[in-house]
This record gives sequence, C-alpha cells and structure tokens, in this order.
Amino acid sequence: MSENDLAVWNLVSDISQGLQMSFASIKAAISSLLDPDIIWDQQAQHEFMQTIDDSVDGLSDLTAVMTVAMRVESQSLAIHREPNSLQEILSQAQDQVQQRTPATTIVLTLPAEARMGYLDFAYFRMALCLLMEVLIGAGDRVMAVLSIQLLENSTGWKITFEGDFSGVRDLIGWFCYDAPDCALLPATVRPETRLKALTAYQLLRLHAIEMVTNGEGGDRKALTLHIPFEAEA
Amino acid sequence: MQVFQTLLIGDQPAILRTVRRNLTGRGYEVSIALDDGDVTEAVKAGNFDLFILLLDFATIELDGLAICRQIREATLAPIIVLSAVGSEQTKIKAFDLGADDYVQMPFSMEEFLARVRSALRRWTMQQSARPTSKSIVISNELYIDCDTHRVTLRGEEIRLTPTEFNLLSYLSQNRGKVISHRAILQAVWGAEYGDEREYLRVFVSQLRHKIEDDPLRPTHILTEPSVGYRFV
Repeated sequence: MSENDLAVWNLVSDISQGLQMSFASIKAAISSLLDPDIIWDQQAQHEFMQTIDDSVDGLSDLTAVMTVAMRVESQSLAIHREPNSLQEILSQAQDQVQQRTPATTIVLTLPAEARMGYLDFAYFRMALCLLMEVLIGAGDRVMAVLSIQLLENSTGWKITFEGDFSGVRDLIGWFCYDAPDCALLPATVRPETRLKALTAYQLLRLHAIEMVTNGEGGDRKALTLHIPFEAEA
Repeated sequence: MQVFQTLLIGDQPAILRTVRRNLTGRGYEVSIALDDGDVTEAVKAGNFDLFILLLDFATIELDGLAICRQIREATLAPIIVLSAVGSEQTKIKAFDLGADDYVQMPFSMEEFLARVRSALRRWTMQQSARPTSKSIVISNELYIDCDTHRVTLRGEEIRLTPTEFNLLSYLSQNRGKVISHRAILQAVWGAEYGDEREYLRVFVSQLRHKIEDDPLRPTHILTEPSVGYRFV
C-alpha cells in the first residue's frame, strides 16, 4: 500500500470516529428526551432538539464529502462539464458558506460580464464551498473577512481568495504543491478539515484547475485558482 | 442532601451540552473544562466528587489519555471515560492511567447515569468509611487496613486508587473462595455491572503489579479460568 493510500485510510478511520461522535450526540439527546424519570422544560427540550438537528446536519455534510472523496480515489466519479456561469456558481457557493459561517464576512467581487465556463456545476460549487470552509475554519481563530474576486483574462479565469491566512499557511502551501497527496496534509489540521481540503483539491484537479499562492511561508496572503479556457475542450 | 460536584471535560459541544443538561437536571453541580489547562485550574479550585472525561478531543494537540493521568495524579475521585473508540487497547490504557469506568459511545443516557450513580456511591462509601476493625493480614508482608484504606507491603505503603482498594479488599475478605467475574463486578463496581470482564483483567493486573513479587506468577490473586478469581 502506498504512503498516500495509507494516509487516506487513516483519514477515513479518523473521520469515522468523528461520525461516531455525532451519532453519540444524537443518541444521548434522544435517550434524554425519552427518559420517563424526568420532565424537561421547554428550553431543555429545545436544546436536545437543536443538538439532534446540528448533529444530523454534520453527519449529512461529512458523509456527502466522504462519498465524493472516495469516489475520486477509486476513479469512479464522473464529472459532466457544461457551459455554466462562474458568477452564478460563485454566488451560490458564497451564499451556502455564508449561512454556515456567520462570524466571517465573505465579500465576493464579480465582473459585470464573463464568458461561460465548461464546468460541472454541482461538483465545482462543492469544491468552492469546501475550499472556503477550509480557509475560514482551519485556523485557530475565526477569520473576519474572506474576499473572493473573479477576473477574466486572455487565457482563462482567475478566482483569488484573500484574507488573514496566518492560521492556514501550511494548508495553502499544500494546495499549491506539484502533486499534493493526503500523506502531505499538515497533521495539525483536524481530520474533517483535511478531508474537505483533499476533496476540494481533487474536484478542482478534475476540472484541470491549478492553484497558486503569492509569497512563501508566512507571507502567503492569497490563493488563486487558474481556470484555463482550454479546459472547455 | 449531598450535592455532588462534577467536572465534565471535553471540547465537543454537542455531547458536552447534552451530558451537562442531564446532570444538572438531576441535581448535580457541573463545571466544564475544555482542555488540560482548565483541568489544572479546576482541580486546584474545586473539590470534585466525579470527573467525566470525553476522551476524543477535536483539538489535535489535546490527548485525552494524558488528561486522565493528570486527573489521577491530582485526586482519587472516580473518573468515567466516554469515548467513541472501542478498542481494547484504548480501554486498557485508560484504566492503566486511572480511569474507573469506560463508557463507549454511542450510549443511552440511562446507562450512563446509572454508571454515574455507581461511581458516586463507591466514592461516598470510600469517603465516609468508618473504622470496622476489619484489617486483614494476608501474610507477614502484605497488610490491608480496611479502617484507613491503607495497604502496606513489607512495611511500605502502596498507593491504590479507590477502585483498586475496593477490589483488593473484596477479594481478601473472600479469601480462599472462587468468586465469579460477575460477582466481583457487582460487588466492586455496582449492580449495573456484570459483563465487563476486561475491567477485571486490567484492575487485577494492576493490583498484581503492586502487591505480587512476580506479577507473572501471582501468589495472592489467582485466576480461575472462565470462572473468576481466588485470593489466597
């Protein structure tokens, strides 16, 4: 088994433990509500329901990401490229992530007009959402502002992410390796975040998108995705 | 009515919230510690009757087992470990480091609360132990003083956790008899227990390391295969 395969399986094992934690929260909350020995007030009942709701959402998200990641690993994921509006995909991704991360302001700057891109709408949007969540959530402190800008030039499009990346520099560096694999993901990053980063990277590579960062090490302030026009072919 | 002080340790908000709500709803005082630093502060400041440790920290840098050891070094109060990890090795390690009970997640709240009650019952008995004049001299070398909960080997005191002491005390009071796993578990841990044979394996091993000259060839705590143990 290659080092990368081993790292992937270890990651799956770590993630499974996280899934168990969500199941545990659900079971504990439900068995509390069902306990005939105690009558819970409305606030307590709401808290248990909220725990169940949050845990189910967490489980659903994580299993969806894991399913895609494993399909890519087993080369059984097919993407369907069709002409799609990058503005539309970015806007939807921004809305989705903004709802989940209210403490961070996501500022999206789009050109008035841009060519359509040959992209798989669902998987490209998923990649962008995962990338945003990783950039926002992987650091020790909450990122105040994440700026995203779409630009079109003569060879393709550039999507640039900018923000206080002090807590995620290693991870940004990983995205920009020549051949990043799971084994090289920073071990200090939580398993869920590692899975999201790996899946975002896999989906972007399936769209022939390259990632670059400006600066080195501690100076990394931006991550840019290059989407070539020739990817339309 | 005694109000028990509980320290709940972990960094997974959903499960912390649910466990805390259940404990406070039943009259327990609950404090929360999110990391090892909080545990140090809490142990210094408070007098806890029970520690509930969520072993699986989301924060990579935090090691639940190290926190288990940290608690045991500071106090003899019972520690209940909650974990999604069901491996035998992790359980054994947790017991080795001072845990008294290990509840694998997912768990029903009813089962968990029964274990909390058992742990506190044992702790209360330990705290309020009255002189019984039931000191037992096992040999010239090993002395178990049930009045003071002290055990000495060749005059040197051996440090036992309350659960280790209760186990040794129970076995020695039934000296010469073969006692089944279930009977020992129910007598030492509580009526809710009976199938947790791995608990006995670990705690007997710990006791053997503390009281036997050669833990591999024990002369005091003997294994009766498939049945239980016999103290001689």
